[in-house]
This record gives sequence, C-alpha cells and structure tokens, in this order.
Amino acid sequence: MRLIHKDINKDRSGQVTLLPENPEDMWHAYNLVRVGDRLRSTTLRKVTTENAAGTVSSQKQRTTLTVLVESVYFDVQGCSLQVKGRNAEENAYVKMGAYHTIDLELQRKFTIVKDEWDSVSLDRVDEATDIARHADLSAIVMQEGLGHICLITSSMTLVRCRVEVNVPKKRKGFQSSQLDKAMQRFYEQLYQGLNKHINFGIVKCVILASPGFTKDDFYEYCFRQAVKEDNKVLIENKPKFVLVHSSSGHRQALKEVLEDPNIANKLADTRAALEVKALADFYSMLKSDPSRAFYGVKHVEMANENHAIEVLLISDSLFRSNKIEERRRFVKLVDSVRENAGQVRIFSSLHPSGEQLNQLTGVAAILRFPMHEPDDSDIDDDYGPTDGDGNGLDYPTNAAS
Amino acid sequence: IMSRRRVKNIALNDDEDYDVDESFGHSFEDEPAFGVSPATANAYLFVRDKDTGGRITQPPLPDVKEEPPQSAPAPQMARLHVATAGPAHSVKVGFAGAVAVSPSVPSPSPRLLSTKQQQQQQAASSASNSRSASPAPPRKNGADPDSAGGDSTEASAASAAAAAEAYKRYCAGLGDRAMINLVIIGHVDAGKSTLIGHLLYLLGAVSQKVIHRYEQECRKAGKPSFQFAWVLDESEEERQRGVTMDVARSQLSTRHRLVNLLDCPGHKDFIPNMISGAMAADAALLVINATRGEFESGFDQGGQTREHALLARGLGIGQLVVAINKMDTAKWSETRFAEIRDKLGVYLKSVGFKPDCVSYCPVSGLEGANLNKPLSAELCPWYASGPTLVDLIDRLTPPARSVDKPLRFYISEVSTGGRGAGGSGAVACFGNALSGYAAPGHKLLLLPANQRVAVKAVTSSGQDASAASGSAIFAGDSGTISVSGGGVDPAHFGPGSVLSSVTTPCPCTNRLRAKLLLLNVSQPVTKGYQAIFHQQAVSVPVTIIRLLAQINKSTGQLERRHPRYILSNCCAEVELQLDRPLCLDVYTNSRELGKFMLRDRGVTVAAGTVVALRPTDSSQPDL
Repeated sequence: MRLIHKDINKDRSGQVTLLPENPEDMWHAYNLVRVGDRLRSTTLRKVTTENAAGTVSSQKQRTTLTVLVESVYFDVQGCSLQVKGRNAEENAYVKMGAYHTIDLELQRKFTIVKDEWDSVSLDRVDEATDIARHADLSAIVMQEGLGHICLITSSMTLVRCRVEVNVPKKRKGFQSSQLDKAMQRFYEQLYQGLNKHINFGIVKCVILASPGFTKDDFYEYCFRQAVKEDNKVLIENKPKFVLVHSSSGHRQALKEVLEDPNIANKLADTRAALEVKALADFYSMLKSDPSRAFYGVKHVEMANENHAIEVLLISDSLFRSNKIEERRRFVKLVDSVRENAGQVRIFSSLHPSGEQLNQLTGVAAILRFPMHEPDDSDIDDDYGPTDGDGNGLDYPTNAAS
Repeated sequence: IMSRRRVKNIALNDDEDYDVDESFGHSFEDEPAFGVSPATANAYLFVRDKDTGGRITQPPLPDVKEEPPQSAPAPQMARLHVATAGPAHSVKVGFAGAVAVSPSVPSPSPRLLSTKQQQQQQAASSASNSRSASPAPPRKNGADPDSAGGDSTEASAASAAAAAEAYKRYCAGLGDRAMINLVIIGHVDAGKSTLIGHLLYLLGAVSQKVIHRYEQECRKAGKPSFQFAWVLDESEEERQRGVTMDVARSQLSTRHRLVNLLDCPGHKDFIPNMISGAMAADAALLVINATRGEFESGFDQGGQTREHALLARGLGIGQLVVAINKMDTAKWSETRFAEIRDKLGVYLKSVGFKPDCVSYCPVSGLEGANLNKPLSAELCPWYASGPTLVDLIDRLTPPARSVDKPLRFYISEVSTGGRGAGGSGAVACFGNALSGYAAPGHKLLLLPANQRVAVKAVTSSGQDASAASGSAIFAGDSGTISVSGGGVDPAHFGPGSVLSSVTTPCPCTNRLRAKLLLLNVSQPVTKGYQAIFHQQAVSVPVTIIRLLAQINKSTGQLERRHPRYILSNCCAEVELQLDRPLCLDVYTNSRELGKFMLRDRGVTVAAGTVVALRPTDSSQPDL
C-alpha cells in the first residue's frame, strides 16, 4: 500500500489517503475502516436520467463519493472490501443521505476520515505502507486423498484450493493399480491447482508438506508432468520447492510447517512465523508456570493494572468490533502495555495462530512475575469473538451494524 | 425394547477402564432431536410420549406394518426400558425368570415373547449341552434370544424371528468356531507382515508356489527376506519401500476361531491407518523385535511400541498377545525373553491391560518357529512345552456381538459400478457391521447424506466360512454391501458414512460433548485447541470450544468447573466442534461409534468417549 497523504490533527482526528496495490492491502483497509468513519473514493454509480422526451436511461457514472460508513464487508477468498453507507458530501449525481456501496478497487486511492486515530490504527497504516517486501510463501499440505494449496503472506493465510479425492485403501484381493490410478488423479488435480493458483512471480518459496512419502511422489509427478507439457514456468521455479514433513494434510498442519527449522531462514521475516512462535511461547509458559500466563479480558486487564505484562498477544479481530467503547478499551490496554515497556503482538485473524488465539478469547498475556489468578466469579465472562454458544463471530464476516 | 446388558460371563466387558463414565453425573438435557440432523428430525419425528412410560411413537412409515416400540438414541430412554422389559442374558443364570413385560409394550410383543420364550427354551437346552465344550463361545447361545427378544431392524415380529433364525444358521454354519478380529501392531520393522505371512503359509492359506515366486522377485528387487511380507504388502510402493503403509486384511482359521487379521503399518506417519484398523478389532497381537538394540529403540519414547499399545487400549481392546519376534537373532536366550517380558509387563499394566489378558510367546517369523508347531527341545529347552502362537490366538475370547441392535454398518471404502458392485447404478460399500444385521432387500438409510437406499447384495467375511449364512452380514463382520436406490449419488458415499436402519437412524452431528483422557501433551489444552479427531476410518479437524469440567481420573469426581486449561494425564469433559458432521453415537449406546482419539502434530493427544450429542452447528465461519 502506498501512503499518499496523511493529515492528523492534535485532537487525533484527521484523514489518511492510501493507494492499495495488492489484495493484502485490502485486508489492511478492512482493519482500518470502521463504522462511523467517512470513506472517500471513486466509485461507479448508476445514474438514471430522464431526457426531454420522457425516456428514462441509466448509465454507470464514475464519481468521487464520500460515504458515512454503516457496514463493512470483507470477502476473504476474493480479498475485496465493500463499504456501505450514506452519502455525506454534496455530489452532482447522488443525493445527500442516499445509500451507496463502495467496492474498493486496487490501484485507486481512497481516503479514510476518522474522528479518532488511535495508536493501533496508526500502526496499521505504518505497517501497510512499509516499503520492505515481506516474503510470500505458498504451501501445499497433503495426505493421501486430501490436499490444501495455501498462500501465506505476512498477514494472511488463504486456502486457495482444496483437493479431496477418495483414494481406496488396501483390500483383500486388491488390485494395486486402482490405488495408483486414484493417486494419479489426486496428483493431477493438485498439479492443476498449483498451476492455477500459485503466482510464481510473487511467491518466494513453495513448500510441499505431507506425512509419509506423498510429498516425494508428488514432487516427482509434478516435474515429470512439467517436462511432458513443457511447462517452462514450473521448471524454472524448481529451486523454489522445499519438501517438509507434516503430520497430516489438514489445514492445521500449516502451523507445523511454519515452525519447521528447515525453512526457518526463508520465513525469518514473515509475521506468520513470529506469531506462531509467540503463541507457542505462551503455551509453554502456561504449562511450566500457569500463574504467569493469563488469557481472557478480565484477567489480562487485572494483570495490566499491576504492570505485570511482559508480552501481550491480542487478536486484530478485537479492534474490528463495532462498539467504540470496546475498541477504546483494547487500545487502552495496548497503549498501557507499551508504556510499561512490554511487547505487543497483534495477531492477524487470517493466520492459523490468529484463529487459535481468537478461540482463546482473543487476548492473552505472558507476565513478568507470577500473579494470583482472579476467581472466575461468572463462568462465561469471556469476551472476544466467540462466546461459548457460537453466537456471532466477529471476523471477517459481514459486520453489519 | 432394547436390552442394555450383553452376555457377561466370559465375554469381554471393558467398561472398567471408563468407569468414570458411569459415576460422573451425566446431564442429559431434554433436547428434542439432539444429535440428529434437522432433515432427519423432520423426516422421523420422534415424539416422546411420557404417559406410556417413555415409549416413543412414530408416524407410520410406508414400509412398516405396525408401530413397534422404538428406542431413540437417548440412553435415558434405554434405562427406562431396561427397567421394564430387558431380559438379562446370562447363560449361567438361565432365562426363566428374567423377562418382565410392562403394560406399555404394545400387542405385537406377546407374540414376540412367545417366539422368544420358545427360543430361550431351545437355547437353554442347547446351552447346557454345549457348555461341556469349553472353548465354545457363549455368545452364540446368548445371542439368540438377543436377536429375537431385542428390537430387530425389521418392524414386524415375524421378521424378528426370521433374523434370529438367520443368525442361528449363521452361527451353526461357523461350526464351533467364533469370529474374532485381530489387529497386528508393533514398532516399524518388528516383523509383523513377515510373521503373518509365514503363519498364513503354514496354515495353508497361501501356496508354496506363491511364496517361491515372491522369493525370487524379492531377491531380484534386492530385498531378500521379504517374501512372507509380500503376501500382505501387495502394492508396488509398499514392496519397493519395504514398509507396510496401509492396513491389510486376511483371514485364517484355527481350531476354535475364525480370525480376521488386520496387519497395520508400524511407521509413525501411518498411525491414522493403524487407528482405523484397530477400531475394528477385538484383540491385538503386539509384535516385538527381540534383537538387541531394536527392542530398546522401539520401546523408547519415540518408538511405536508404546504408542500402539496405548492406542489399542484407548480404542477398547482388552486382550493382547505379545509375540516376541526375531528370537533367532537373540539366539533363543531365555534371559532376553524374560527381560523383554518383564519390561513390557510393567508398561502394559500401567496402560491398563489386565495381566491375565496378556500372554507372551517367543517366535521367529522368518524361520516359522513356534507359530503353529511347538518348539523343539534342542532349539529352545525352556519353552519346549509352551503354547504356540496359534494356541494363544485360539484362546482369545470374542466379545458379545450386538446383533439385536439397529443396524449400523460403517463404511470405510466405496467403489462404484463394475467389479464388486451388483451391476451399474449400484455402489459397493465395504466396511464393518457394528451392530445389527443386513440382508438383500433391506431398506437402509445412508447418513450423514440422509439418503434412502436398498440393499442389493451382501458379502461378508463370515460368509465364506459359514455355509448357511444366506448372504447376510451380522454384527462383528466386515464385508461389502451393495446398495442402490432411486437417485443414489456416489458422491454422498465415502469413508465415514454409515448405513443404518431406517427406523432408528444413526445420529450425526458436528458438535458433541465428550470426556477426554489426556495423554502426554506438549502444551496445555485450552479453549480453541485444534487437533484431529480420529474415529473409525475418518479423521476430521476438531476444535475444543469449551472446557466444561476437570474430573478426577480414578474416582470420577468433579474437580474443577470450567478450568482455564488442562494438563497431561488429566480427565476432562469438553465440548468439541468438528469441521464437518460425522456419524457419532453416545458411548453407552455404541462403543464403536462413541470412541475416538485426538491427535495433533503426529502424536496422540487424548482418548475420548462421546457423552452427549448436540445439534449440528453450521454457523461457525470457515476460512
């Protein structure tokens, strides 16, 4: 994302103009635009005109609109952001107060006007506009009959394609050719998916992970096919392929892939790996000294009052809440931890570690010294995205007002 | 009317390991159609009629002639029924005074009762006759009144009697041999496949010519001693790599048992396959490598000996035969044998195997020593009169088969059309019958796809041996059911689907409450913990969405409500959410469907049983 213009006043209100360049920037935009802000961008509006003869014609007119945001919707697979709201500025084609949905487009700048730019939002702007290009990885986790082709960027893990083929198991009087045929079909589908979804220009490394020998077989199959079909792109990118062991072909295996030391150097600067490590640290602290590892809003806030927090793990879904008091509460928590010389790690909800943190109420902390755990007076005091009965998960579904 | 008790005297009753189940208070909510998908609930409205003592009435289905008393998946229903009309099956006690008929039971059952009484008298007399033959399994006799008195899958009493007849014929056809499913487990390279291959050869299941051919091929391929293993490892990849990768099935018959063998892979990565094999088994054969250094590495923390034994116990296997293999490399030394036996004994006892359910014997798979012929005194003086491996297998007790319960046929493989399927349009489903029985012409329900199908053909593992089974499959068998039906979509079939009786469909859901026994976990388990849920032949990602209580492992007392986290070796009740719905059942209803394992990062994390099912939750967003 490119920063075009930034204008923040002393009272923290102001506007920022950004230019999104790739789909990940849409995710950053989703984390910035909140209900109650104003968004200005060029958009298409269907304008109906009535000419003198009385015939009505409608055409799409490109215009710049400022919209008072009422709801934000992010489509994960397509990485597109749709913002619905009412028109807040005089415009030749649209009445004041008329509803419009802006579909943010790549390579078109947009401006966000907020009444209060908190530290978390400003950090996100900085992060989004960071020049240094983070490594983009692609990982294929597979097992016999099941494979996921995923794209791992610094703040998103997207499953681009899921392949499931029924591979028959061994049976009495079995013909092994059937098994081979099924596996060939499976590899074929994975190969197609690989070619279609992986953009070798952006991706620095392609990880093949599986239990057993599936990855080796697939690797051989892949390059045999590439030679047969004369697929130059694939053959050139052969050195990018890395084979790694994982325990299964399910999405969860991505976590293990990210922790693998063989590819640690390639992952060194990805946020995904850092997040996984931070969460692993939290769990090992929970195991060795439970009074130094807290999770849940009340517990963590209590720990913070005693200036006990050394590392705060917090999920970005909490900052996407529609209630401004909640957001303020969490921003205050983050700011105060930083003031007390603690580290703050904001987890992206699209990474597997972020998902796990979301399930764990979304906020956790590693403390400097052991603290007595507060009594759980009310059982389900858990804040955060999931409450016990699965009511309303706040990310990244349609956050309608 | 369901009988909740199974044959108790010799047959295995492994409820002891999960005693906590019984003592810890179950809280069964009055949920209307829990565990059943909304479509099924709509189609089969279970109306619990409290006035008639809990008998469930049901709107009449087109192919059901009368309204039989049905029992829903709810165990509390079962308890009511047991109080009223459950015959206690115990061959020792005898059947006479055990049956009580409550007034709520509708009119067909006096007829039922009369056939049942007849058969009870028959069985009682035959029971006393056959008691003299000691290895004869009591299950055969005890089960007859089961199938007659219990609620069979067919509605009318006449066909219940027919089922009993069929089962009797089937058992009679088996001779005095009982069917038992034996799974072969052990660390990688312990010699499992070779041992079984050689055993099959010695018992005549494989011809000399075949072995000779394999021998030549092996030598050419550079693996000179693998000829016996190749009997079971049939795929190219397994032969090339020299490892078993998937469970191989075969059958052998000993003097008193018809054994279905399941040869499992030993390699760590293939444990999910091993779990699916072990789920179908009644007993296990643990193969140990006696070679110095090999046993130690297999028995270490990273080796599979421990994990396989643990998994076997966790999956409900109570009987174990330990074959200490490759004794020829250890020069048949008694000290080595005793050393291994003692070390293992301690470990197996800690895992939960009762010492009298475990037996040991020294063998050599490659040489074929002590497999079915006893050892000679010169070779091994200290074991010369001991039982051979086949003798030990012969002594294994088969568990009671619940033939009277509603049909649950668990599908582990599907193939469409052509070979094995009864013509085009039919789908051949290969799997295990967990309870009940099926024969051609039955109408079944496929879950979780919720499709009605009709049975076209049935082949089963017991059929080959039992001459008079008449093409039906009974609980405890593995086999193939070919089904067809209007609009049968092969895409709906797959491993994990269950063919169940139409009147009592198998519950299926993706949300459940379960009791977990945590094994060694590397990190504490909190809310949001993700693992892989292994049940029978399928594995599905699962998330723990709530920690409900921590329970004392041995007493079952509640220790902590809503714990923040759970550590290793603790027992806890949790709520789980699966990524997709599976056919599950509460553990007390169906042992096979109610048991599961949780694995994460290649390590088994917990063994669990289903305590309650909750309605399917489809609201959880997916990435």
